[in-house]
Amino acid sequence: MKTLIAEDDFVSRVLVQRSLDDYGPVVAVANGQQAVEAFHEALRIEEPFDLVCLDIMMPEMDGMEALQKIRDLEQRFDIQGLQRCKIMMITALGDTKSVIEAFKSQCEGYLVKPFEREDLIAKLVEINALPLGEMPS
Amino acid sequence: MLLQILCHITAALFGLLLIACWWRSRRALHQVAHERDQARLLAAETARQASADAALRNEFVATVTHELRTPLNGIIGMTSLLRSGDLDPRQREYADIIRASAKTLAVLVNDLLDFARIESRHIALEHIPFSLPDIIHDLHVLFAPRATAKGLDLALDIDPHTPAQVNGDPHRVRQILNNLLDNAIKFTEQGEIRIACGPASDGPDRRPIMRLVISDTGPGIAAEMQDRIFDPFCQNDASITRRHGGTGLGLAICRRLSVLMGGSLELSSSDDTGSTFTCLLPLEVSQTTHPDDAQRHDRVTTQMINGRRAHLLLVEDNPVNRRTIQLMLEHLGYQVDCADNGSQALTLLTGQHYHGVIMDCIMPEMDGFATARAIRTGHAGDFDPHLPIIALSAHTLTADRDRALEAGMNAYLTKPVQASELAKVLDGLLAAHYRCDMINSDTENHARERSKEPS
Repeated sequence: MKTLIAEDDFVSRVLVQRSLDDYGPVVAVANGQQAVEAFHEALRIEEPFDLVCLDIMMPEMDGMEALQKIRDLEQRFDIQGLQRCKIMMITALGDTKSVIEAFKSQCEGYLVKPFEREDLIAKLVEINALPLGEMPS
Repeated sequence: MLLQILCHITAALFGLLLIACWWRSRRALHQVAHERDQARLLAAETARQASADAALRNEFVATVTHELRTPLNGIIGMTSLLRSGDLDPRQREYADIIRASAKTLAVLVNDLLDFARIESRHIALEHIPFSLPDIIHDLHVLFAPRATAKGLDLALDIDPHTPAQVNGDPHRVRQILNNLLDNAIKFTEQGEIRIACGPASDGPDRRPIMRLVISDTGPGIAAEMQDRIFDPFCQNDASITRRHGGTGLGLAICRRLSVLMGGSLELSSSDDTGSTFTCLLPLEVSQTTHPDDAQRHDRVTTQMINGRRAHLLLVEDNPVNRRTIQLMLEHLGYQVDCADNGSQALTLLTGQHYHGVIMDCIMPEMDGFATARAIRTGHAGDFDPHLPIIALSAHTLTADRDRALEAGMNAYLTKPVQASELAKVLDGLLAAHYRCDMINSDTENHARERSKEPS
């Protein structure tokens, strides 16, 4: 599984990165703009990401906008349905409005901070980014 | 002549003196008025300043609370990484303690955020139809295991005159009851907790008032403490906080929410009879009647789940399909509500207890896949995130089916759907989820009556 993480807070970024280290290569960036660029580049060289983890409140470009831009890019590259990457929002915003907005913009999963490694892995199994066998007991 | 001049001078002086006196007194009066105006202005300014300060303070608290979550995420997350590695028993104990403390802090941060939002009037109250008895039944299911574990009875007392539907904010009503029940179970060592609900006498403007009462047989609250119990960070005894956990904000939040909704929350208690919290809320009776109300009586069958009529939510944007499937489900014995897109479905799910959802996949605004995913997160509203969802689609493609299942839906049916097919899938899913047999109550009655007839 090839993963892209966009998170401006250093500690949170390291946390997601270390939690996913065992599952394949991880690219970590610090804002939405960089995430969209990295995603585009990966599509261009035909080594797309399988999973994108997006924080919502980030400088330059926030996670909601990055989410929409990534889905637009996929459409431009004619990637549809299950071929699309899985997108997981990881954020301190737990209000219903943000959650609904994110799902309207076609994310697959939503995780509210603070979270533990087991919570993240369980969510990834739920959205089929990781196989069922990885479900933490 | 001289005398005349002197008289004139005296008169003039006297006049001047009078003028001076008048002027002085006038100035004094002015002064008083001026000072009074000043004082009034000052008071207004102080009040304005105070409310501005309060707004600023609350905004500050809200921001700080949000900022607190980021480092808290670091502590909780990193501790979980630490615990997943190789640790000797003592190190594991330390890591466990850090984790428990951080989790307590996380609860406190959430309560503070909620409190700050309420204080700064930053919460928008919903005004949607919902069912009070449904909320109480849900909470009963939720709290019963904890009560039973402590050897307590959790009794329900729902007045039959309680309206089936009222208009208001189901999320906040649930939050109040949730908090009161949590406290009642926490502080009661033996006896029972009672949840009662029913209409109270109408308010002064003839608005119907609902009464929600949570009473316990716990230690009670001393008279001198009863006024302070709704203050933030007041617990009956500081050691209680340490013994029972909690933030000391729960009751303060409940009282403020009740007042915000135009109601009240009062306590009556004595040291030996336990505590009774009475929440009075003006909740108008909802006038929206279900389209199937009129037909309810001539329906042949009724599907029941744990003694309650099975209630489904149908989400479909096409009006013709919606009506067709609704009639089909009603004929099968289900109570059905309809939504024409995903956002509306999420709103309805929070206000009402549904046993299952039947969802079209392709819809404008928010499609079926996105809605199913949102439901499964558990953050999209106050309802069971695992409730059964059946996807309905016009496509027979396997890819579409996979997408629906992957979005967390439990079954997939293609349109046009057959009633028998729908019934089979629904029965299976509902029975599995609610661990009960789908009893077709009227059919059973029919069968019983028929068995009485001589063959």
